[in-house]
Formats: sequence, C-alpha cells, structure tokens
Amino acid sequence: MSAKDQLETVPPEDRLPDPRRDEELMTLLRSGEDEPLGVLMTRHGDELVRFFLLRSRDPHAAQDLANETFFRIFSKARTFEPKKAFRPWFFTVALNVWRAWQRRRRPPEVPLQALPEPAEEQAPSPSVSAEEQAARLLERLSDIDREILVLRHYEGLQLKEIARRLGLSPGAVYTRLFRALEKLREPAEDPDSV
Amino acid sequence: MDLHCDDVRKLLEPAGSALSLSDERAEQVAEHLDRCPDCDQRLSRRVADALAALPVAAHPSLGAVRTLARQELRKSTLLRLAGLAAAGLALAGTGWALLSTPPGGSAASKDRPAPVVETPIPEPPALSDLSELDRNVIRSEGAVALYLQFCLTCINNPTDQDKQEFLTRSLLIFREVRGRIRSEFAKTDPPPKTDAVILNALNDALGILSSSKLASVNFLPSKITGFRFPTPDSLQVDHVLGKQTWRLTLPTIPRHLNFAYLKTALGANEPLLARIEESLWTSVYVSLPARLEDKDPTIGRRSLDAVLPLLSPRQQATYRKIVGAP
Repeated sequence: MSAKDQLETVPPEDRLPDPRRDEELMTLLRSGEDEPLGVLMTRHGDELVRFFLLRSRDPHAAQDLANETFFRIFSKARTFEPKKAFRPWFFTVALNVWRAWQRRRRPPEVPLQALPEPAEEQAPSPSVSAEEQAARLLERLSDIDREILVLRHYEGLQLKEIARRLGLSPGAVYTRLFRALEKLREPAEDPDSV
Repeated sequence: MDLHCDDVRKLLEPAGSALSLSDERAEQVAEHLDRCPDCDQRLSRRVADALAALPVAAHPSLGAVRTLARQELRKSTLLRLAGLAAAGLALAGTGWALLSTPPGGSAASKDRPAPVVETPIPEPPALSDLSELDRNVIRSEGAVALYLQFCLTCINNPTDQDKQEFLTRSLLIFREVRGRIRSEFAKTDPPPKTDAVILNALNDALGILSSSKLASVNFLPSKITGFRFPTPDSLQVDHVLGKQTWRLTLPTIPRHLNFAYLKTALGANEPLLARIEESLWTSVYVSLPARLEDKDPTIGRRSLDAVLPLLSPRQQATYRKIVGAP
C-alpha cells in the first residue's frame, strides 16, 4: 500500500501530526510528489472550507471551492517560491478561485415541467449538516461584518488597514468585529422549534 | 485616558463589555491593538477560535482533487483535438464554398425558414405596472446608487487603488442603506413619504461614507438638506459642500441599471442580484451621473457586456429588451 493510500484510509483523528513545515511540503509538491498535498489538506482543509463559507454562505459551494483550491495548489505548485511563506500564497490562490467562481457562476435553469409537485405536507428535515448550521450562523452577520472577519483572519490585516479598506473608522471596525464574534457565540436556533 | 494592556484584554474576553463601548473608547482600543503586538495577538486568537468553532463536517478530499485533475487533463486533450478538427473543417468548408457557390449568392440562404421561437419572451414590466411599494423602492435605490457614484467619480479624482477600494466600500454601504430603505417602506402607519425616505437614506450613506475618508477622496458633502423628483426623469439633491449649499440635478437611472427593477424584471434571486450589482457597480456605474448627463451612447452596450454573461438565455432575452437592444 502506498503512502497516499494509507493517508486516505487512516482517519484524520488517528494521524500523527506531520512535522514538516508547509513550505517544505510545497517544495516536495514542486518536485512532482503528490503525497504532501494530503498533509496540506488535513492541515488547512477545514479552515479553507470556512473561508469559502464566510464568503458564499453556501455549504456545497464551499466544499467544491476548497477542492478546486487544492487542485490549483497542486497544479500551480511550481509557481510557489519556497523562500516565501505558504499561508499568504495559499489564501491568494483561494481568493482567485473565489473570484473565478463568481465570474462563471450562472443560475441553473430547470424547465418548469421538470420540477416535482410539492408534497401536501413537508416533513421537517431530519438533520441539518454542520455546514448548514455554520451557514445559518453566518446569516446573522452583515456583508461588512463577514468581510471584516475575512480581512482580519485570512488576510491578517490590522484594524486600521481594514478600516482603510472598508472606509470605516478603526473603532467602528473593532466594535463590528467584536459584535460579530459575539453573534457567532450565541447558540444556534433549533430549526425544529416553532 | 490612555489604555493599558490589562484594560484591553478584559474587553477582549468573550462577553466582555466591548459592546457597550463609546465610539471614542472604541477608537482608543483599536489604536492600542494596532500598537501592541501582544494584545493584537490575543484578538487574532479570539477571532481564530470563533471561526474554528464554526462546524465543518465535510473536508476537501484527495479523491475529489484527483477527479478535477483528470477532468482538466481530458479537457485540455479534447481542446487540442477540437482545435485540430476545427481547423480542418474550416479549410474543407472554405474549399467547398468556393467550389459550389454560384455567382450572385446562394439560393439556399434566401429560402432558409426563419428560426422558430418556441416560447415568447414576455415584455419586461413597465414601472406603472408595478405596485406602489415596488415603484418607491426602485426609485429610492436608484437615487442612492447614483448619488454614491456622484460622490466618488464626479467631485473627486481618486487614484486607481483608492477607486477600487471606494467602489467596494460604496457598494457595501449601498447594500446597508438599502436594507433601511426597505424597512422604512414596510411601515404603513403612517405611510412613508418617498422623498423623506430617500433624504434619510442619503444622509445615512453620507454619514457612513465620511466616517473615514480615503486619501484621494477630498470632497464629500457634509449634509443633504433636500431631495425631490422635479420630473419623472430627474432628481434633485440639495447638499452642503464646503460652506455652501448646492442644488444637484441628475437624470434618473435607467431601468436596465436599476438593481431593484432588475430583481423584479429578471426574477433574480439574491446571489444572482449580488453578482449583477458587483459587475455593474465596478464598470458601467463608474462616473455614471456624468455619462447619463452626456447621454453616453456606450452605456447600453457596456451594460450588456457586464450583465449578459451572468444570465440564463431567457433572462438574457429579457435584459436585451430592457436595454432596448436587438
């Protein structure tokens, strides 16, 4: 069994943390090995899904975009400069994937006749996926608040830089950021409650 | 009063008292955070923790990435083959046409039946067909959008970098103010007056806009004192710029650039509308008040370029009708 296959069969929680730095893994990826990609996915996958969830609030799109980002990382590994930090490059690639997706996205067209008749009584959905819960939590935030979270966490900007980017005062950015964090802390509403 | 690290760290605690901070205090905290790496680090951790708590169950998978890689490989191979085939067909077609076309043109092209349109595309609604509420929202949003662009591109000359930032920021502000407009119009007792709603909305937008100015955006009106539609095709804003009050008269925004109208006419859902807004806002909307006044003939074509790629074929046909394009 190859290292790649092992990586896919061992559950993530049972894996030992890989001691190699992201930049070292990218150097290996540049030389044509694809095993390091799995390590990067384990390390950054969830954060990347959250990045896209924050932007799109669409759980399915978030996962597809995360996969596409890793594919780009893999196919564009040669453009990575090993002396530079991985994280900013990684999120630049993610941002480009996001922009390209926005440009090419079109609403699917479904002929009216092909739509199923609505049921008499809709049974409540038995369970809500984790991403849908996350999307609901993010619905509580305004566009500006989500943008502030993205700029702060993924682009690592200081409050005054975010303020300049969004045309707010640094104090307003701080207040909005703090309020957003509090809103995310509030317990999710039970979808079955009336 | 100067803030110490201990004060700021207390405020950074979950459910700390940051929510009740005055504006002045919030500015002090922000300044401290930008100066103090340790406190800033704490804030970063707090943000990271909050985001890490967002539940995520589906992870990106190597299998999915490999599928994408295979698709990409297949696509590039097919593209190469298609390119070769197209070149061959073009050569053969040209040869065939040269050999078989009689002088005076092809009879087949004259006899060709007109294409059959299976379902007629309905006419986009006239404003008078819409409810009073919809009409009011459409007029109000159009006025706010146009005025925000006036502030950026007509009385200022920002650098390219600032322009991009200002566009992003002004669209976010527009969306925020739009929410307030809609909630105003939702009130029925007493029914709101459109001019008053727009006046408040414009002042709201201006307030947010001027809370932190960009370096190359030097002129912003300090207050708007009056708003009216003197004719159905124009709007008037009285605003204080410098120490003087000025009356600005602008043509109203055309239907094909009015987001609220497009939402109704195209049946656009929220994500589609957001994409249309972003596309138009960063292209046709730039300097729009001046272009409208100059009756710039490229507005229609540029709008089509910006919007059509986002739409389904049926919506494209409707949008062409709204623009008045063939």
